Amino acid sequence: MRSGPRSQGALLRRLLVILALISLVAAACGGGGDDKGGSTEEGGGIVKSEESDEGKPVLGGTLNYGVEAESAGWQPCVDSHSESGTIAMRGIYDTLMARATDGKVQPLLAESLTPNATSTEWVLKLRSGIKFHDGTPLDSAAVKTNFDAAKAPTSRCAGALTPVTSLEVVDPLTVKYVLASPYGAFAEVLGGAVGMIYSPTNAAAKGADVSANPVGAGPFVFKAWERDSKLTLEKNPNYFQKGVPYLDSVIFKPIPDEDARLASLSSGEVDVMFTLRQQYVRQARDLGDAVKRYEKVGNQSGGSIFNVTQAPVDDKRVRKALAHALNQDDLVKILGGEGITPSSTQFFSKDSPFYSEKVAAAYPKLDIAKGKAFVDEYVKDPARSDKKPVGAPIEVLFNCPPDPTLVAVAQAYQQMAAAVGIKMELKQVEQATHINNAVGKPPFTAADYMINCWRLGGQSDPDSILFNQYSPPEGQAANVTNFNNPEVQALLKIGREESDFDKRFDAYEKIGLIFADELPHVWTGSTAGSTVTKPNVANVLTYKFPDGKSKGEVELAVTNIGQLWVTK
Amino acid sequence: MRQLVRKLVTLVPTILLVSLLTFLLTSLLPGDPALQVLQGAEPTQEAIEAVRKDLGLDKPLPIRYLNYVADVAQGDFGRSYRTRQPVLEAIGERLPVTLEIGLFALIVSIVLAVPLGVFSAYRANGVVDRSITTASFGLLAIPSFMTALLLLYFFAVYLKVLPATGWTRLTEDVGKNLKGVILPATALGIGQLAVYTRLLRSDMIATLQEDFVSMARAKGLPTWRILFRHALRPSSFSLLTIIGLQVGNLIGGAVIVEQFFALPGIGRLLFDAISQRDLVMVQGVVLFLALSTVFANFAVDLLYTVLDPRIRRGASAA
Repeated sequence: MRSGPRSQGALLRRLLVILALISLVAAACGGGGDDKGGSTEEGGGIVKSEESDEGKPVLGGTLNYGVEAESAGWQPCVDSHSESGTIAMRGIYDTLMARATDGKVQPLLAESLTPNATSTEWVLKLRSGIKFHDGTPLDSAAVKTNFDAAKAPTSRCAGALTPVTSLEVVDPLTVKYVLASPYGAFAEVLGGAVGMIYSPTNAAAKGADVSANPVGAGPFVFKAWERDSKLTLEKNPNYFQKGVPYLDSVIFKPIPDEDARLASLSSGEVDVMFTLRQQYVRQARDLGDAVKRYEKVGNQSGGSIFNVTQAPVDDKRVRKALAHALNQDDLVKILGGEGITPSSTQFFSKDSPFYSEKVAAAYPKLDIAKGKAFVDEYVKDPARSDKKPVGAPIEVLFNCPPDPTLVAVAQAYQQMAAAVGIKMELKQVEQATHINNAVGKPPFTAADYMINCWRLGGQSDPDSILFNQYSPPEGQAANVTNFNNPEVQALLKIGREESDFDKRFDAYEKIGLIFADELPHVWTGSTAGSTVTKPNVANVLTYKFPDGKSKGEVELAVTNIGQLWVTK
Repeated sequence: MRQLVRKLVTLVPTILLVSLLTFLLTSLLPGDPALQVLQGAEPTQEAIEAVRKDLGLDKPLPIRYLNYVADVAQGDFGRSYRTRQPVLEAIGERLPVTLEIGLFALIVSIVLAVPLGVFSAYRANGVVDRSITTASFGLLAIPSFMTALLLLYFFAVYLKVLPATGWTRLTEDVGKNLKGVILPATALGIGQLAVYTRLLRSDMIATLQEDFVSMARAKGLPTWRILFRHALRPSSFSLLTIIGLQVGNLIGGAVIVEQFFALPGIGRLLFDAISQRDLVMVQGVVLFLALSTVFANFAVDLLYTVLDPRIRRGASAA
């Protein structure tokens, strides 16, 4: 996949190509959008992450990191941040737990986490001697203060902590999380924002300004922040893991425009950048040996959600007809993701331990005849849900934000739906409204859309992705499809309560099979991401846990800056 | 002086009207700010209601507006829903960036537009004039994001002489700061250049047909002196008016240019606030921008008196 260094002539040629794609740039300037991934030709073509000869760590240096969006702030459970904002957050705070490459969640900042036999009580032991950057000890009292704030109704972590009823301080370095019901995947929660412990002294002193003055116990100390310009972190000399971090400082630069971010890597303003847009994953490939690329197909996929309370998509036959009409390979080509990402059939990509071949086989394939048969059956049904006369065509409304790539996808959807006899009207809805329509108003049992293009899935444990999203819709803002299936809910409960992998796999596979039949959502293709670095940036793919043995899993966009280094 | 005070007093209803309109517009936008605040957090109903209460969104609209006006009158523009940063502090941080880019864009456009406009008028309908006219229309047709992209690839990626993105504060490093301003200011200024050149050309052609120009020619004054000392000043009124009105345009352009070059200016602040339904921030920034536009035009009114002795005399008589 690599080519030789590019000549200046080649760059100019590329410039011309870029000018031809100028309309797409307007979209990038417009921000937002559920950009979607795509699929590849039969037999793969998926680029595996490129391993490089990492060599010996080099101490010192500054890393400039180009990220796609600015974060609202840096206080865990309070401020929202982009995926790449998590990189900085982990630099400042670390997490109590983290997932290793074997899929198990291991202690990172914590010393151990032990559940009781029923997973209703989890005892967390902290390492002794760890101090926050301001000198406050990281002890049970600090964890308790963090927990209480995270449980507040306005906290962004309140949803994740719903199953946890209280936190008891056992001794200065031990706390116990008490849960209302068994929760096998609870350790995962402490690998997210809930597990980022901040200094209670600093939080009390700064009030609302704490968002711009974070203090944690991670490998990097917050130095300065100019919003929308740069966040500067410096090495924590007292970090509990000796010998790391290798870098003296890391500067995060939010560059929202994809073209400008890639150009900044070429011109040297940044050393690392990340993109989720297929077109730029491809452009990064075109840079050849001038960069190192780490591509990964994550669990996040593009697709569409159905509001199953609204006719005619409340009828499974209409959803099935549409699923059979969609040609994922063509949709991918439109998105420029051909040969980059595979098609999608479920919430997990092939490299996830929860990926199921059975679900992949059960998900409806492109089959116009089958699609037409479902349409025919619905149209001729005197009791059809849209109350239209027998024989009247099926009419549906498809909403998508006004991003040019998404507009192209929507138009393709329209043509594909027409092929099976479904009349699809397209509507452009601005991003914030798009989300709002899907969520609906309290008590959230109805929503204000019929079909929405949507990004589905995520990198975390299946429980945190699926549980709320498919819980009974009443009072549940996360259930955007209003899909209310007691069997799925019972299986979700098993997935939450069980710790045994096989039992959990079984539950999530069964859920996948129900989804493949009921189709509260359809898939458009996975989303490949690419972390692109200058050749002198090393150890992007993994990091070591404090035990010295386990290796940490680096997620799609989230590298571990604590163990990166730069040569020369 | 009295005229000045009278003009200032008329600004009060304008500002009140602007505040009401921005408040209504932002409040009527579809999309719940509470959902934006909690976006990605899988919020519970309780959480959404708690955030709405926290933001004061549970109160009726008129009460919210009155509270807002009362706070603003005391100099409190509120805190951002999303970032919790005080709105005035955010504006204060961003303003120097946008001002600097706007100022340089203005300088770039005027420094180029004046000689081009004057020469076009002097040699009206000649080859050079026609070339300038064609080029002006060409520039006018190119949107600023495209100019930005072209400049970025040529100067940052191909020649590698200027930074592609990023901002260094003037107080941090003057050289780096100026290097960082060149591309965005040019991208922003080049569109204005076309407008100014065309405007100055047409006014100048009219002025050059005035008797006093013929008189100056008859006296044997050098051409450059006639053009720049005698004809330019009376030809500058439309240009000046347009520059005043363009302040709003510069901010509009800044939204795109700042987003593209990743600059921490007002335009990007506004863009993010709108897309995130950060209503308090939108209200604050729009109110601020409205004030800036009003005052810019006020300043242009004052400048007329400098340019035209008749207005100056009129003012002193009043």
